[in-house]
Amino acid sequence: MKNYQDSMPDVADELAHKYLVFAIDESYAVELANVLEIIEFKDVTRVPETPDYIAGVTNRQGSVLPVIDMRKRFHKDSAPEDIRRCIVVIRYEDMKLGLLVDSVSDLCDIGEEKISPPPQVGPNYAHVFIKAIGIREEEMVMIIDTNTLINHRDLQALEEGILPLSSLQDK
Amino acid sequence: MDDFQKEMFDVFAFETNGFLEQLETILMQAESQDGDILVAVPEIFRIMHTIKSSSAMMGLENVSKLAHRMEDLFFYIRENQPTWIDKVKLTDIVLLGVDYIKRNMDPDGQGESPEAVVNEISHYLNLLENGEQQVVDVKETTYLRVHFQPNCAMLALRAYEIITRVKKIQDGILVTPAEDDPQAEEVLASDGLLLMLPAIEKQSEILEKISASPFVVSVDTDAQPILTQEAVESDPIESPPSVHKPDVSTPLVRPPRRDTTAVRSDGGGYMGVEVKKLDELINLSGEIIIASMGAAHAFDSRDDDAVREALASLHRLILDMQDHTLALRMISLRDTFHKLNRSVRDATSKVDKKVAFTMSGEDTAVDRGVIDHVFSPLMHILRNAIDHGIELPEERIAAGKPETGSVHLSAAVENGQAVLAVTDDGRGIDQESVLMKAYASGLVTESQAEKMTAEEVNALIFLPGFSTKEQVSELSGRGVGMDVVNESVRKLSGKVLITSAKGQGTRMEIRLPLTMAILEALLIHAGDEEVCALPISAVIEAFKPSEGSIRPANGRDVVLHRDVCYPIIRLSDMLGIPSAPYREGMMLLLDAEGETYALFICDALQQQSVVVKPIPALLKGIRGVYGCTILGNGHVCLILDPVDLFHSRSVR
Repeated sequence: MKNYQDSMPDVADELAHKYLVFAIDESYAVELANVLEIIEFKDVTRVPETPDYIAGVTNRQGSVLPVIDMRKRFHKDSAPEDIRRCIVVIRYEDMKLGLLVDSVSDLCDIGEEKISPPPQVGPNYAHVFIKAIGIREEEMVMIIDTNTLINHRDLQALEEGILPLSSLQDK
Repeated sequence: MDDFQKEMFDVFAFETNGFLEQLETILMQAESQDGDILVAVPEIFRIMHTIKSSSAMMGLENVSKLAHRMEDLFFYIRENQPTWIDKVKLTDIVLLGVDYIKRNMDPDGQGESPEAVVNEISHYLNLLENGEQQVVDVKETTYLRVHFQPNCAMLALRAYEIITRVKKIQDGILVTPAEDDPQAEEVLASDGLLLMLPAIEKQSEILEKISASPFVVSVDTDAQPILTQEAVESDPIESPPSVHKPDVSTPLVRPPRRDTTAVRSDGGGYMGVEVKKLDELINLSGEIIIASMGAAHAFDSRDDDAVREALASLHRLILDMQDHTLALRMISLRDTFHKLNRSVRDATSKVDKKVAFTMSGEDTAVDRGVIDHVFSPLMHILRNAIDHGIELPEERIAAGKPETGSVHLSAAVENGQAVLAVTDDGRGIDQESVLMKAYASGLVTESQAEKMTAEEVNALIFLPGFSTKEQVSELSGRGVGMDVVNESVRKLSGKVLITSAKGQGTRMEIRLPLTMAILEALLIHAGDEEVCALPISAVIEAFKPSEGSIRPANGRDVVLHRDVCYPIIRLSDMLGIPSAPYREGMMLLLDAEGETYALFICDALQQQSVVVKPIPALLKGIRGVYGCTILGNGHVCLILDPVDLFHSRSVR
């Protein structure tokens, strides 16, 4: 798959510090370079015997896209009924993955200097997926490491509530 | 490698693979009855010449070096047209080269040294260059290798006696070692006496004479020549030509070959397509544009009838386009068959059996997705037929069969299915032994065994119990790998059928749907709005369970229908949604490869063709689900696998 980051240095530079910020209660962000598009959340077909944070699969331009319910992934409660959620389609290894979020805020630039390492201990599970903290206009934004969202080996461990920190180092 | 280079490499890979296949086809045809490799020499030369330069451009130095040497060889043959050519050996050499190139096409791989193969080529070339005076067409020669008793003294004398006797019956023979060979004694002791005779009718007389000679222990009638020693006239009237004599007995050794005959994945995403098909597609797309403009126009003019008509016509054109695009994916089995031909040749050369291999129906076309997966099961079945089906020549003669066994590979289309079959006239499957073995291993009970039909007994060899390698016997040998074959075919939604008669032969058939992409499905739902699809081929019957026909048994519910009890599996359970009571839904009797069960659903909606989309790689391990499809309303619908569904649920 063409990774234009490699062959077109100008664009790569441009995207380097850009992030897409979305909300699930708090603000989270993913590197814009990994984002393919944002689509409306219409419906999702549940797939049996998958962990509950895998919402299911949805139709994206005629192909079948797996969707992760980010609220469930971060062990949060369900979203309020009336909000119109959307799906952020990201690149994951050589596949595509959809992240079901409450809303998408904006794109922003977060320079190197505004980024600091994640906290090692946190009150909820979200910290496991966070690779850095960025400051955007006085607000804290947690930057997600998309590689950790699906972790086959640790799927079991996560269910049981223990996730070794070493999983952040893989890949 | 950047993108541009990768693209160039993909094209190179595609072209080169095409050449290699062409080469294999040439060689196979040359080895057949009316073929002759010498006719193809210019073409082989051209192909090697091309590969030499293109691989060099791609930085594949080793491949280039090998191709260069091969080119040299064929240049020599083309220019000098030597009369002495060992055609079998020549074919072997080219195949060695082909295999090497296949193994070393990876631009990032370390690659193995081409020295071994290059040396083979050089060696052979040397023989050609120096052996011009030897006018022996090796292919039509009979070789007899005479072995003497280990402690026999004066072997040269014994050998001389034999030669003299044979010459009285037939002259024009060549022998190795030559009489005046200073190392004759050693060679006779280690390799015996090799006689080369033109193929003759008097062979049995000669054999008798030789066998009757003193100190003779055995005579090989199928000896292979060791081409390193020049055969010399046994009466050296003229002095033998000064011949380059390399080491005695460096027999031809093939480097261990990985399975390079597996079907290549289309050299980097490329595929050959008939131009005619593309043109038809382009025409169709033009018509669709016109039709859609017509539909827009009709809509603007607010003419409902016109709109309806325009949409209907658009629909027809689009269905047509779907047919055409699916047809693009259809590839003929020709390439697969030729690769199999090659594999059969290799397998046959490893055993002491005579096998005549024929093929038919290679023009049959199947979906590309199917082709990639069909090579391996067919290869297994063919190997089985050769290793275990066809008997040794002596056995065959004793059974009143011709010495040469026949194995036939065929392909045909029947009823929307591709039928690929391997038929042999070997020893067949001994059903009694199969049953006994199954019973002894605890795979069947006595009562089951009594009721089994012939096909069911044959199908026992699919059970993993039969395929374990520790059980070395003719019987389980036949089953080796069959469970793997069955599993692969099942994954393609196909079936393997075996018919066999003990002592007469076996026919193994693989039946596959013609295309993977479209499925005739029944849409059902289990309550909620959760719609699922089932392959209609698995649905035997639909019925509403009658009052009182459902009862628990062994921890699960069964339903009595037409006097038979079937286990019930609830679709709602599988989907994790609450179940409706039995009287509010219906039962579908499903076939799970021999097992029948009842699937309890809420309602069956309609039958329709669905386009099968694979489950996303992320969710691959899910049992019971065969794929997905997208319905008219844009919703993703799961396609259930009735067999998997049964096995994953029945354990509970």
